[in-house]
Amino acid sequence: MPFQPLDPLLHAELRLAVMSLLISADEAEFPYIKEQTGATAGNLSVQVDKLSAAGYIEVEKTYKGKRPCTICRITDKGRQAFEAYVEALKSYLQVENK
Amino acid sequence: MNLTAERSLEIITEQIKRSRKAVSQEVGLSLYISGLCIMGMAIIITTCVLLTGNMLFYLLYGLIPFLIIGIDRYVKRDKPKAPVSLVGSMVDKTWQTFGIFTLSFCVFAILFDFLMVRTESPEVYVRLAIHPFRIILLMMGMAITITGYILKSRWLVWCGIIGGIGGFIWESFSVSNFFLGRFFDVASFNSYSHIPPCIMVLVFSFVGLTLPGWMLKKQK
Repeated sequence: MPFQPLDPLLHAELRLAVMSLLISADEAEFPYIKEQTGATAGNLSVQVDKLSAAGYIEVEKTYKGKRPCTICRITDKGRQAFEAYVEALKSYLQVENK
Repeated sequence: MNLTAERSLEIITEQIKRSRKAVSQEVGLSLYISGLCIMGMAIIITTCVLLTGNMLFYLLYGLIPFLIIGIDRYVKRDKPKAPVSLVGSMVDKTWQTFGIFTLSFCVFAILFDFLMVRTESPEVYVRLAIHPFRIILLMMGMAITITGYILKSRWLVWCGIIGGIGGFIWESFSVSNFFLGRFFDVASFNSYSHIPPCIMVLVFSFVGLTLPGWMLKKQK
């Protein structure tokens, strides 16, 4: 069985963690993602921008009361990319398990 | 790209678990706050009724939902909100459903008893009166148990079962009255008759809400 190519954008620890978080919840606030991934705000911001530029997530800057609030939301393209990544991952795991 | 297939899988699994745990901790905190609010309110109301003899203090129980919502919002004001996930929305819907049914039943029971006491003889009233408290305990126990199953928390499941069924049996057989009757004579018993419902509320809130809420909140 040939190996399926892994999406390089998702094949990075922090970006994969962000997408995994967003796949089970349609949207999440930036501080929540930061807390769950344990990443620094700067690093997370860079990775979120990359995912956003690829169209995998949408970033909405809004206000929660008087405080600024950034909400990240997974897009259909992101969902499809994640599903394709998991499918590709299976081909590697099947070979490793044999 | 040093990420192996196993590590990728680990990251995905870990993040899904973390999401579930975040929801569990948020639900735990809400249960904990609810339990403490109900326990505090029960003690305040019973003390006021015992001191003044004014039954209108029981109406303060109606303030509990607002008190819980207010304190819950205040405590969680600086915490990042757990996102709306399937697990979280299932818990929300469970409590909404049980909340609607319990509140509707409670209103119906109060109105029914109100009409019965005015239209029927005391003998008929005693036989037909609805005692909503035990049904409320049963319904809340069910809600806690279902929440426990959704969050995969064995503690919550058992606390819901013990609190709900235990509370229903306790209330149906007037266990508090039984014990109170052992310690007080008839005259004192009548003046202390407001204590048993308070004891029941305290026990149920502790077993069904405060204790499992604290366990969920503290989980690592």
